[in-house]
Amino acid sequence: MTPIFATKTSSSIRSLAGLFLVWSILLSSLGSGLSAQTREQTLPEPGAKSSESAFRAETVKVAGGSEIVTIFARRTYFDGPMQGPVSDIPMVSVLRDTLGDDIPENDRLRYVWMLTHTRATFGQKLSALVPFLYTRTFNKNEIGTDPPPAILDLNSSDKKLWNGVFWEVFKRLLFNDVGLGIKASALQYRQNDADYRRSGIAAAAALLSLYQEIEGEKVLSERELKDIQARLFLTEKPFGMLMQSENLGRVYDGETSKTRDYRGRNWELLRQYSEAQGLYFDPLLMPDGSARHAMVWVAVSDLKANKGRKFEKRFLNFKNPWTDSSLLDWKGHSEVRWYDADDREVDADTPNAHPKTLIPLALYGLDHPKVPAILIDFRNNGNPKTREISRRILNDVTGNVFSMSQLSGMPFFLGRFVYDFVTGRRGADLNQASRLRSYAQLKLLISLDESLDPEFKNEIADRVESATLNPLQNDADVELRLAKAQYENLMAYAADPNGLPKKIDNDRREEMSKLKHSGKVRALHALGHLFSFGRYTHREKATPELVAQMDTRRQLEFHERFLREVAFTSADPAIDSESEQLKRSLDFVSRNGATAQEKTTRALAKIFAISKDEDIQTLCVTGLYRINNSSAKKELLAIYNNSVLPDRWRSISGRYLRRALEERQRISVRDAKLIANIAAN
Amino acid sequence: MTLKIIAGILLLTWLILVLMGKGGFVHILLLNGLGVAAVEAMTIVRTRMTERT
Repeated sequence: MTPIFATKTSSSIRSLAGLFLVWSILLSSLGSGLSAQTREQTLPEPGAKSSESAFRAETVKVAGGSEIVTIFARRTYFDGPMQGPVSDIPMVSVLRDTLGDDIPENDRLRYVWMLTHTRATFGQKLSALVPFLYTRTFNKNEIGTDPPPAILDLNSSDKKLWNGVFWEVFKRLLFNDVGLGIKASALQYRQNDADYRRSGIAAAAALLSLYQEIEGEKVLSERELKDIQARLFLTEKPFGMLMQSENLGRVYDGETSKTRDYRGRNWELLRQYSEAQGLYFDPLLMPDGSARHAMVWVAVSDLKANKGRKFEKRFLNFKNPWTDSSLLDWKGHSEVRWYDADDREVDADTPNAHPKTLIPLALYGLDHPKVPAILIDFRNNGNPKTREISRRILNDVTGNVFSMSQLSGMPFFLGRFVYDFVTGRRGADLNQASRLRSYAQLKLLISLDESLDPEFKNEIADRVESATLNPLQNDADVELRLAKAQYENLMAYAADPNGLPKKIDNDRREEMSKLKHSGKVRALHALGHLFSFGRYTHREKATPELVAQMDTRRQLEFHERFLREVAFTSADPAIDSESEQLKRSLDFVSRNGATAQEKTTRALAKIFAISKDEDIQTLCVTGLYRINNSSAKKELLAIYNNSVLPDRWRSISGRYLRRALEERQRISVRDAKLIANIAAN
Repeated sequence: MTLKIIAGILLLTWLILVLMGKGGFVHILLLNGLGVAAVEAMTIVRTRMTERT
């Protein structure tokens, strides 16, 4: 798009941008020190008992027929100013709209709140506007009484897409005319805001995945947990919100398998490379038994033995420990571990075990694409931060300052392509995907893991804080306090008749408009919403009839989704699917499926074709008769015309087709003529 | 110069909206609308002035 305003950059703004840069870099380095000093102590008491399970869940009813499910992280030690033997931290809340009954088929998950994620303060927002300010600045100390912001609305929403589109237009309209400083500042804010949200989403996904893995009765079903996680993954994709519900299971499986691949490969890379250098590889286990992080240690006894030894730092990405004199006089954390004659770690009381004092060198995130990402370098705090900043600086300077994108010119495109290709292939930990997810997981590990030495855990937490690039971020202790306060606010919001119950009622009345109006009318409503700048939203008056219709519609959507999943995955539904559930779903569609979608008709036809169970086949044919659209009748006609099938199916489908014609169901003109011929014969 | 002032005012409005926590797509659309309307108005005024001279 051609900029409307003329492009002109004054030299004074360039000087201002330069000053901004210098000031930001100074503040960044100052911020690292500050964050370490201002951390508050919420340390576990040494010797505290570990809990039986890492999580507990709580369900709170909301007036009007919904409930909030909250997952708490258990903490069993005294918690500084918040006294109490058990001080569980509310982490994630999910709103489930049940319509006030016990039928799971009509339940809808709606909002997800990551309770450590909050609205930024005025000061945080101002700091987020400063270009090249890559550090945390202020914490949010006063939470107020507002309910927390939902990190995800599970109802398909195109808000993110439109936000992106309108922002692009806005950028092109104005930014070429206002100078570098303002432009860089606005783009920096958008980036920080997006990163903060991404970090909250990563934390929510990590927590739900841990909760899912831990055994015991769960208040969120397996399917609900997978759906939420899949929707969280899809927030990263431009058209993710358009993903249909029957594909969510596959999205979840794809993402988890990709992450397992990354983890397995990074585990092996790090283990092999660290052992080849004479170092000790030590995976850190999450409460579910999986390792998303790993530490690399060096033995004090090896330092002297290997002095001056050549060091290959590929994938390890820290400086040579064999030539580092600071390690010989190490004042930081160290641990004594016991090893057998084959250098395997054993218990202290094992015969012939000998002790070794280990010094931590680095901590890595294993869920990272391409390379194990260094998150903490115990000898050089700036090392991981510089690597993370390398990507941000490259993007910010080229995009925010020089307005270059890969599509803006061939030389830049080629240069960037070659650079990305080489760094990617070589596994260089520069300009890699952001460590946001790994840091979010590490923060979670720190808050949940009670096996780590408290002082060492505190040191790790301090170093994580100093590596934070985002001024909108709060430090870990503050986040835990925020989570408690935000949970209280959410409960107050849920108890207020004009709060959450009203919002749910509005959401349902909005949902009812789909039952009453055609697509064209709804498109007009959407335009009305857009052109009134959000002031007008079309909602129906909630009558008992509409509520009953909505109930049936939700149940139908549940069963349609199940049938489409079976049609996609099954080879013979009677054997490899839940047969009873399949029959229930087919039965529901054959009784209430008049408004079912075209995709469901194809699913029914496929299930009919691959099934050998007569009950299932009969229900499929009845369902195709019940669904009032031309595609269903086309499938029924295909069954009628299939000479390979036994005559019985021909007779049943013929009868249903004649009845559909008499009832004036939706049938294409061509098919109607064929059916009329069947009736005549 | 006038266009620069308009751009400045719109960005300032965006900044205030962001600091108030109102940075959603509806508000950006509103600002886009205002921006286009301002440019359109400027064009009309300039055309009239040119016609008079």
